[in-house]
Amino acid sequence: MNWFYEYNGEQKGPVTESELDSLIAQGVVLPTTLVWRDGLTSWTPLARVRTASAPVGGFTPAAGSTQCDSCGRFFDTGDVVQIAGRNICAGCKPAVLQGLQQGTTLTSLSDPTRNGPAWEHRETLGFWVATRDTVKSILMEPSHAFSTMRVDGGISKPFWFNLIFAGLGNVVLFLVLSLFQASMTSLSPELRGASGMPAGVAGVMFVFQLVWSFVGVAIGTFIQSGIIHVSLMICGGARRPYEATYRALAYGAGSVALLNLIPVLGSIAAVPWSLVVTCIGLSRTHETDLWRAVLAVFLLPIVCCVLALIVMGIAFGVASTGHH
Amino acid sequence: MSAALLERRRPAAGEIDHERLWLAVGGSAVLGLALAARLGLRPPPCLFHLATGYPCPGCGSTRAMLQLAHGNFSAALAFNPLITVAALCALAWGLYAAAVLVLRLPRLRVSEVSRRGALGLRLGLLAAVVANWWWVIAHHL
Repeated sequence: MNWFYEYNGEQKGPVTESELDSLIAQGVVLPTTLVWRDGLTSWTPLARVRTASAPVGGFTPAAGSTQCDSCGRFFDTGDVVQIAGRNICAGCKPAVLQGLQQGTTLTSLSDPTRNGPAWEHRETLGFWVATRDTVKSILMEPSHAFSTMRVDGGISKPFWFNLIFAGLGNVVLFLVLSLFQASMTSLSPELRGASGMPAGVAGVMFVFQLVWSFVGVAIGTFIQSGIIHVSLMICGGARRPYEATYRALAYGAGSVALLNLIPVLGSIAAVPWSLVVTCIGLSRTHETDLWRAVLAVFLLPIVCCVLALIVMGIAFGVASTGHH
Repeated sequence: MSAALLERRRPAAGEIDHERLWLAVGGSAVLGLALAARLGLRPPPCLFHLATGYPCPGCGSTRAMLQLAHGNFSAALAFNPLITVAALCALAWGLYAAAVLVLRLPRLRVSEVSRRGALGLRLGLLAAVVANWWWVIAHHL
């Protein structure tokens, strides 16, 4: 079986099983390296397709070698030091120690099983393949997608994904609603000219709303992530920093918004799907209980509804007392 | 033992710079909303108010913000006290964020929150929302 792999941002291969084993032993192919072979639906980190207990190609690290928890490469055990219970090679040691002094925790070191989604590797996979694989995995297999999603590494990649695709979905939704509104206006003479707005002003507003579809979604996702992260903290489920919440929501919203490309039905399906993807995304990225994630998403509406019932109960009680 | 410990430190490599991020997000949101208001775009009506006839905890926010923008602090408080106080806190935080970014100062971070502190924060937040809603209902009905 032939394999393809990513190296320095380029696609390499095909290589045979034994050649892949050599590349792994040399440290060229790491557990985090994206690989692909026939039968795989998308580019996948090596660690996902070759587990330690059942290596596909028969690869086992040389006796006496230890894997660095920071870079993933194998070294002689004597060349690896223990820092806070993690194996760190001599090359990574200065950066790890510096990070610790600056407040980074060792739990944030790269997790070989968290290397997705494909959008994080679009330089290698190409824009369309990375987009297709990301959207497909988040919509069809959200549990797997968010279990393998990176929880660190910055916010620029999820930001651009969210800006492009959630913005695109919003624009399509806005255009469909505008067309619907225009057709209703043309059918109903009473509505024609009801706004009394000059054509120039209406045009400026239209352009503003198109631009705001992109800018607003980018700003909105940051704010929504902040609110949900605080809710998750209140529910005791925020086990990772704000970045993880933002990543889950940005990739989730960007993927689900593309459902708006299917007029009417897609937009209707996007509402429940968005909730499902958000709840699963939060629980998998924070590695917390699903019920905590669901509670965090619905905390604000739940508090409002409970308080509303109390207020209405009091108002009803006061009104009944007044009648007596 | 204090409820929460604050520390001053510089962001670690790869860590989100919250001061830069939220200053950019807040600034863009204020600019966008100001432009929308200038173009005559209005926020959608409150669905909760439409459905129940009672104002929601956020009702009066737009009017409070407009009053605050004109410097009418007491009028803003009357429309929605919690949103007004939150907006003033956000403004103060924005000034702090701008200062640490310009002067390249270490950032303030919460390093530890005790269990009692966390419980107190949760209850305090809930009490603030309830009290604010009580006020909004009393002044709108």
